Amino acid sequence: MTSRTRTRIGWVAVIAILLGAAYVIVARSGPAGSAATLSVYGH
Amino acid sequence: MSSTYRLHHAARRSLASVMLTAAAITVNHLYSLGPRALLLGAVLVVLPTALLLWFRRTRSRLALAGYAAVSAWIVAGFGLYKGLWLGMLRLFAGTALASVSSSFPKPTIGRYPFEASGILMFVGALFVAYYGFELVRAALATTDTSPFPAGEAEAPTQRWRFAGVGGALLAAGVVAAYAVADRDTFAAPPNGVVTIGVIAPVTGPYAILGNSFVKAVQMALDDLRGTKYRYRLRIEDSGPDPARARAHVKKVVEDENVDAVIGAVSLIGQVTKPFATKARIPHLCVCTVATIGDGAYNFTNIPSPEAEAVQWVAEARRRGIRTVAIVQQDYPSINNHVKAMKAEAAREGLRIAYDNRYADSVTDFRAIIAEAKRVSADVYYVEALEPQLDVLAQQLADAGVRNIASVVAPSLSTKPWLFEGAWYTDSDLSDIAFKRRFEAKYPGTQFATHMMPYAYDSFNMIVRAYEQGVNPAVYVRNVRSYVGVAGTVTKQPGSGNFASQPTVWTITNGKPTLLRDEAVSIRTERIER
Repeated sequence: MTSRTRTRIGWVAVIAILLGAAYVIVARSGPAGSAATLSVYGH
Repeated sequence: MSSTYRLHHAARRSLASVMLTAAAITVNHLYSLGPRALLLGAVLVVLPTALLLWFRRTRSRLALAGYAAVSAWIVAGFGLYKGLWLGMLRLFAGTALASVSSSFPKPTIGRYPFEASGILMFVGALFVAYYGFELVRAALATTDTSPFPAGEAEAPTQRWRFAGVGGALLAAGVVAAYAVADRDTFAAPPNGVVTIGVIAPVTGPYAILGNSFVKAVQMALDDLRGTKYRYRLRIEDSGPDPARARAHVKKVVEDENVDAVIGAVSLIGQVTKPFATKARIPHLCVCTVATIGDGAYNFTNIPSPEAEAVQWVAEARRRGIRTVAIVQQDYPSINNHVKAMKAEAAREGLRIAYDNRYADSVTDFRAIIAEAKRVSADVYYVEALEPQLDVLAQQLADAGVRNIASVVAPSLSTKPWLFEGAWYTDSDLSDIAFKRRFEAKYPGTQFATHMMPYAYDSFNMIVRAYEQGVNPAVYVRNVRSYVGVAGTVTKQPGSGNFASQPTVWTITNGKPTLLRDEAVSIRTERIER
């Protein structure tokens, strides 16, 4: 395995970890930022 | 490797990284700019391509400088500022900090494509920076005036080691800077005056609620004694239309920089929410839409439709009611109450024998009432807003219907005596004297029980924060239980919604009366006899 291949695998792993972690945070936060609730306003 | 080959190699890689980063920027900005983000994306693709082709054909320093400038814009503006500072640090560092201390707000989290594209903007910008640098170095090397030496001064391993250590230190410094900037700290109000914005619709269909709401906050202000700071209200009529309310909210929060906001009605609270978040001030919304309360800067403070439903069905069961006829206006907040009531009724075995949701325009209810009477339900669930509310009540009375129940509605009626004998759930009052004081102080203003105690208590929460020298947003985040005129409200850690227990009211002698007070009064009369 060349150092260029190792670097590429490293970058792919870093990006995958970041995107995966972001997915977990977004999923746990619920429907934040959603405009769907606008239709059920009350007082 | 020839210098020309190195130049073309770097140029191809640089342009490819610019293109990919431009794609991430476009996706990210679709959420803020809408279709105009496509225009931004087109500029970020066409401009550097044109500059690079110009440079390829002429070797113009101006073209190279232009290309470098666009790359720098992508790196600094989109990669470092938006991708890293506003994106990744908010998402990862912000979430981590908020989980360890309430001094840090829970960050606002967007949809996944928005968050993912923010990460890719930053990562892409790193490649844009690296290959842009390589391109400039290769271009200058071909002219023999390069400030960068062609040979390697240090061994590659050593260079990467330095880069690694430097990068780690830089990352730690950036995270530390973000933590400092993200933390909410107390700042004493200038000249000792705390200005609290009161944003409510006091005209249109919410006039009764809105006016009563504003007066409740004014009463809370008048009741203050011996405070360290002085408190001032900045009252703004938002009007009932959220599109127009935006300008009112912006004026109060952004232009006049109030220290906190107390708001009424979910529709307006939804508009206020992003402004309060941006200004980093607490927004206590006396409204029912739970998603307004994010636990960072926005909080809701009123019984939920579900809490009203549980109380309503419990009271119905206590009274031996088995069947219900529903006559309700088609209106969002009313629909929410009815939906929650139906769900709870189904759980507890109450049967809905008749269900009519009529349109805003209906003013003759006689046919609906006649139809409802045919099912001989144990109780009529009636909910509407003025002016239809009193028309419906009058026609029910004319038809001899007296077994009426509701959620909130009779407290909004301008002719409550039309509901004589009706029972309904509404906000609690720990002490009925609060209502009497309000009515004595503001004889021309109807006390609409639904929101008043929460408006009063919300104001006092802000005051307590300042008096204790705590950032008001942090103070509200930390409140787990608060005892006020609305009784006890509670909040789970991290939640933006205060939970409270509604209670049962009746219309007795033409006036809203707490059922428990009425029961005490009846017992007292019996003892006296």
